[in-house]
Amino acid sequence: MSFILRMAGRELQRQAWRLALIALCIAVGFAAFFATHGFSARVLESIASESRAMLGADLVLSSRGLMPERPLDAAVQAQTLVYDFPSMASTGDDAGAVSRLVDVRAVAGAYPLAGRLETTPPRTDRELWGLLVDPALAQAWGLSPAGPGLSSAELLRRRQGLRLGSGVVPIQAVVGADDTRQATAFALGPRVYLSLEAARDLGLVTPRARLGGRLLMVLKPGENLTRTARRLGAALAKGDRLRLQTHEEAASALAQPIRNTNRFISQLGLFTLLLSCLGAWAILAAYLKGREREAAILRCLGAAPGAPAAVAGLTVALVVLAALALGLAAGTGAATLLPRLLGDLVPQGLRQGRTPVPPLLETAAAVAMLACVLAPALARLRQVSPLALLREGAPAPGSRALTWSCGLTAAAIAAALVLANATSPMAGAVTAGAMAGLFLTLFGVSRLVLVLYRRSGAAMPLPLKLALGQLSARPALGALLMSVIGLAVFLALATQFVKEDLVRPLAAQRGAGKRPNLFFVDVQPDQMAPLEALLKERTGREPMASPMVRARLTAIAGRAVEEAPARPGEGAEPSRGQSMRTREQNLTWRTALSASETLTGGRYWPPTGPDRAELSLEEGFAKQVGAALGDELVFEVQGTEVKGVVTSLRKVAWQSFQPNFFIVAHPSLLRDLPATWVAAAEVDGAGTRQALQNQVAQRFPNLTVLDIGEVVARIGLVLDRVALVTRALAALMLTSALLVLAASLLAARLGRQRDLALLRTLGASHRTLLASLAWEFLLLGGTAALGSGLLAWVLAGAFSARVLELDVHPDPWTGLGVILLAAALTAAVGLASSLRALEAKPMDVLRGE
Amino acid sequence: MIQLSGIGKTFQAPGGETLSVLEDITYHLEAGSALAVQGPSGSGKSTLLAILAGLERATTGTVTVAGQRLDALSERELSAFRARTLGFVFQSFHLLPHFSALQNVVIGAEIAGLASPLARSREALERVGLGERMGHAPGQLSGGECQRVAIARATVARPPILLCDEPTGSLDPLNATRVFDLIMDLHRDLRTTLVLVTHDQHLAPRMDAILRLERGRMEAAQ
Repeated sequence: MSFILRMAGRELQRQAWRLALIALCIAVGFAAFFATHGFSARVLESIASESRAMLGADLVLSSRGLMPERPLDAAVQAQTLVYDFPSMASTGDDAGAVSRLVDVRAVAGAYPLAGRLETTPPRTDRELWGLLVDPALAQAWGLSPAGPGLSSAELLRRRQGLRLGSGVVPIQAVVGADDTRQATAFALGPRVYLSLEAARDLGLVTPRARLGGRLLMVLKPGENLTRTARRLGAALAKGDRLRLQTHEEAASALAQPIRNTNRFISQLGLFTLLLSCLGAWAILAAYLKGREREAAILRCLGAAPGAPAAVAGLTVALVVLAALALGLAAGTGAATLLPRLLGDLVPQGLRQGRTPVPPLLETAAAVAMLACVLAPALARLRQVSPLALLREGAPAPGSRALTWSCGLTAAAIAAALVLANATSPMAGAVTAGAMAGLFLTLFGVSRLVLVLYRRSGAAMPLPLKLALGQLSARPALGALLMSVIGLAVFLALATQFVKEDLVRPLAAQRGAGKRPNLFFVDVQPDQMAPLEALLKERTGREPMASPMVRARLTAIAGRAVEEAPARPGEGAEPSRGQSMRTREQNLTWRTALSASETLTGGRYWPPTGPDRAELSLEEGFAKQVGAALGDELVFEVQGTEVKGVVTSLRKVAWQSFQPNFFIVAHPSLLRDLPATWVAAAEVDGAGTRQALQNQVAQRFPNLTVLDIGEVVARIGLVLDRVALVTRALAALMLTSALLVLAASLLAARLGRQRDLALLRTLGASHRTLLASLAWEFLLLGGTAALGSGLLAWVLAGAFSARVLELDVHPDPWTGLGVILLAAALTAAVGLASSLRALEAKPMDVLRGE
Repeated sequence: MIQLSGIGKTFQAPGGETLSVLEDITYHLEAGSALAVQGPSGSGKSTLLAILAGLERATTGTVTVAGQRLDALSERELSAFRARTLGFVFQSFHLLPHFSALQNVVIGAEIAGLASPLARSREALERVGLGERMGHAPGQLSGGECQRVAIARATVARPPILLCDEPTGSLDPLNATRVFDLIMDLHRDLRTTLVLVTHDQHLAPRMDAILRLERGRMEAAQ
């Protein structure tokens, strides 16, 4: 044992730089995984521990529309009613006034019941007599708390009040810390608070207003949350259309966008870890292969059969441990940087979260994977015969059965890791299968390319011939390196292509008024004509207008909606279908299909003709709610029952951003019912849009105006932030792949040195050998990058077209740029790693054998 | 000291035929004597040496070295046997390229389980005349010096038996003579039993006995 320890110590000493590089390569992957996992852990921990503060209560009862009166339950200590809705806010009526959509929270009672809502100046008794405004809005508009006794005009002039609804509200304070305010990137606008009484006075909270009510409840000390929730939930009548949630359930739903971003990022981190394990396999296998001759010498000197393998195993174990420690340190540090990169995608409180605990299970799994893939190489060392020193034909050690079984075990562990980190078993299976398929495809293509290279014609320059010879000499290692580089390039390009496909339709602005970017919602019938006139005057184009009737779906094909179970083929998630059925529906009527619609089933009604009780459904919606052609749907519109039969199905091009509806009715079915209108116009220029918004807000204060340009900008911001993190991880992956290349070249340095020395003694010039090295690594990186780039082009395009239903136009220059960069970097790293071998004196090398 | 009784070695060729490398080799070598093994290429010299070192198992016959029957030993016991009883010198030196001359010898001493491996290694290198070059790696030594390091490594534990496979085969005539003289001096000083495979017709007569092999058979022994 002492001999083994001493030999391992010697090995670490003399190979310090090489082993450090190997450790660094593995550490990069671990760091990426620990960073993203650490971020995920903090997000989840934050949601779990802060859910009560995030919700601002123990329990919440939610309603769509006005909340019915509810007495205080015996278990409840206090309750507060809040309504959340978007509304237009403006700084005044003058020409210089600005307006925008804000997220209003109208509160009745003490607020918040739990968590923080700090303001400047602080509120006494938590009384709400004015507006509490978002600090970003206050800064952008130069708002400040109102002085006493000011008129509305004066409030507006001094920017100490805002026009909201039908009146002017003084600003009470500017919000500081707000636990209930989630990631601002996902909000339509900045939040403002005011009392429910004031909101009613301003005409913002009415029976017909588009808002969601929530009754927040805090329990008395000692009351059991789960039991109380169960009791209160059971007491809800089916017709109430209310939903009760605990703070954990509600906060989890609120944090869904963050969770989704978080999952995507943690998956990328996991891929980087698996990539690093692949790379570590390549490097350490080459390193152990290089130890076989030494093992034979030691065996000949009388070392015990297992001693050389034990020395190598101990050395490798120490390298992996060092990599783990380094990766953990770097990853923990990076985990604190990740929220800063993501900016307002994450709640502010998350940025000060605790240092996360390392993921022990995943770490152990990764180490187990490495142990599995390296076991065959260690077994070979164990079996090295000292006869190899005496006779070149001595049988080469190795067991195919062991190699295959260890490889399959490692693959199973990798698949288990992917499954454990997936949102569902199906998603995990798809991800694991896709990654395995991708790797096998790249590996297979790489092997094929190497075979083709080997068989290519003899009439080529000597450096190229030498390069191909080197690539062909170790085909398995070459293919593995190509796969590692290829995977990194694939992930980087695929995510970039999909991101571009997502952003492009949002940002496209085409003329002729067919691509509206300003939407006006809740337009009353008597306001429609003057609004249309105003829009036509300001834009020179006819605006689009659609009537809208709000209704509740009560029955489908004779089955009441609340009782309707999931039908076969209804949709992958029955709970989503139920949600689609029970939510408030927006219906419209039209005589013909719009330009963004395509008929996919049944027959649309003719533009003229007798009354028809017919409906046309968007095909995805129909599938979700479980409705089919021929089904009768029953709606309730403000107490009136409306019935219609589904006679056609439509496909809607949602990315056209025209007013589109899931449910379109024959005009005769809805035109006598209470309706509002949605108008849409295409307005060139952000400044013009803002000016028009201001004008509309002044003339029609009840309207909600949505500037799609701003929405696009916010979505673009979200995508940019996610893309930034993705690019950072992709760069990390590529770095890891290049480190793998460098480390594997160092591991196999002796062999390469010998080859180069032999060639020099045979007469090859330094220049020729340098050129051959350059060709070798350019071919290695270029083939890998080109192959994976094409794969990314095809698969990302298929994903965008089939899954996201987007128009696909991948930018060839992006792809070409990444491919050339990967090839150039591979060549640079390969050359740099091989220069020492090239510069070694041939006689020293050959004599040293 | 070394008793070979009816040693035969056969291999299965890839085509399925049986290849006979050694046939019915019987020989007795007294302790402390020096034997040269000669023969053309393919005559089985290296195979015979491998069998003596326990690196290869004879197909037929028995090998007794220093009173130990090698066919009765397990793999682990053969390793221990090599460490304690044998010193091996190769034609191609087979030094560990990234270790210094001293470290190469120390590793051999540690495997042999010597009490003071560093001191004994220094002594062994001094004995072969490399006291000034202990810190040099094989790449910094000449061919003759490399072979002397290999000899130091093989003799650091003062093994009863020293096996040499063409130790001068890679050396020029001057260095070959020097290395051979060194081996013979060590053989005398350490009283080892020496078995040396060599093509060199000038060196063989300096041994106590010569065993000639021809196509795996013992042609003559003198």
